[in-house]
Amino acid sequence: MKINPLYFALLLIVALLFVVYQLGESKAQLRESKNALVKVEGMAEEIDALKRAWDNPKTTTAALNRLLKAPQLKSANIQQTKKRGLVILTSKKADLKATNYFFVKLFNGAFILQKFDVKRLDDESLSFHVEIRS
Amino acid sequence: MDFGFRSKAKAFFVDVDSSSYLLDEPVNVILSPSMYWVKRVTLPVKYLREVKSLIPSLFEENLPDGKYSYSAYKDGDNFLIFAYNDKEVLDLIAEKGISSANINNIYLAQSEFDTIDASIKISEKSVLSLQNGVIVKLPSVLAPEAAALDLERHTFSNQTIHLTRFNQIADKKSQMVFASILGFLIVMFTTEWLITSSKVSTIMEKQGEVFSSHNLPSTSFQNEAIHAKLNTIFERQSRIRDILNLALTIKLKPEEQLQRVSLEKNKVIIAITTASETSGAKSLSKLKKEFKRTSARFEDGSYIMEIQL
Repeated sequence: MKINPLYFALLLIVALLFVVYQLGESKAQLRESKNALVKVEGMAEEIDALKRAWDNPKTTTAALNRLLKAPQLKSANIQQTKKRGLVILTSKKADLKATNYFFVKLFNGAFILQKFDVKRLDDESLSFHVEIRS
Repeated sequence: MDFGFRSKAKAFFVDVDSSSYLLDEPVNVILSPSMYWVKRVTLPVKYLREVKSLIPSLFEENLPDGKYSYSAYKDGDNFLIFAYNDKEVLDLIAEKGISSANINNIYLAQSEFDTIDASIKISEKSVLSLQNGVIVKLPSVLAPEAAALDLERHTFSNQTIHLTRFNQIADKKSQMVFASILGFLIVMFTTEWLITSSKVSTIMEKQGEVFSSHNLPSTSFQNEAIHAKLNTIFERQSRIRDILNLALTIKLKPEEQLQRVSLEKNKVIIAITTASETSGAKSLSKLKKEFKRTSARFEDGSYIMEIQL
């Protein structure tokens, strides 16, 4: 059977158009995948950093224990209790120096502060109640 | 061999002298000898394909200028070779009122009438006659006893020809070059497409590896949720620290004193003892300016500011 060259040319042109379209789609997909990879890498790095800082109960507990053992806080007589994933620290009476030392360390560390209340008792002393997520 | 699938289309004889019709149904066209050149040749070859390659040279110098297509078939010990100008034939067929879309098959008078016993009248002026095994068109005066052309019960041979206008636009060599270029482009783009697709797959796999290398769940959806959760914690804790940092560095008046600092569910509360609401508002104005969602009240000698997180 003899094939009309026009039909054959048409078939080749259609095949060429199909391949060019698929190539274009594929290239667009490649660009999107590359962008997605950069985004995923960035997100993974960020999650890693955030997890190390804010989702590391072992480090939080160790850091808190080190802080509570500090001689500067002895006079504050800080009571520690644990309740449903929270560490509750209370001091009925602490001097300004100890309170200052305690809160500077707390605010500079990656502790997740859920609640706190610091009240002045008189010119020299304060009471506080702090809840930290462990 | 006849499998019984012969075309049921009407037969139509086309000659320059034929009448014109307006046919809107499939037809089988029989070309008059005036539309082609024919030669009976004896060649020392066995196969028809060998003959076909020789036809152009066998017609050399016999044909007027133009582009021709060729065909051949075996007839006894000889070969019958044909030459025809596709464009001229198609133009004549169109002129006679037959649309190319309605053409079923095209036959040559030679293959269809090579067994006639007597001449056949094809018009008032012409007849078909078998001369030395070749069908020729003669003036009707040479065969006054010619029978009328009757195609109603005509049985067609297997010798059809194919006509195309494309042959007029480009010769075989140009067609081959065109097809080769298209073929090359198709192969090139297909290769690039496959390479690109493979790169996409590699990148997709790499995405999964990124998560596993950071000990994270395998899907983006889960990781986005983790990221959003941690980010919320980070932003809340940063805001708490920003508020406290500013609140604890504000310079109060000598008669004022920081009374209370507390963090509740969604707010930070700062209370100072002060002489009046105006005085308290002035002392804590920096906080109000820096953090937009604030509210304040004055109660029992204390100015209390609440800052939403």
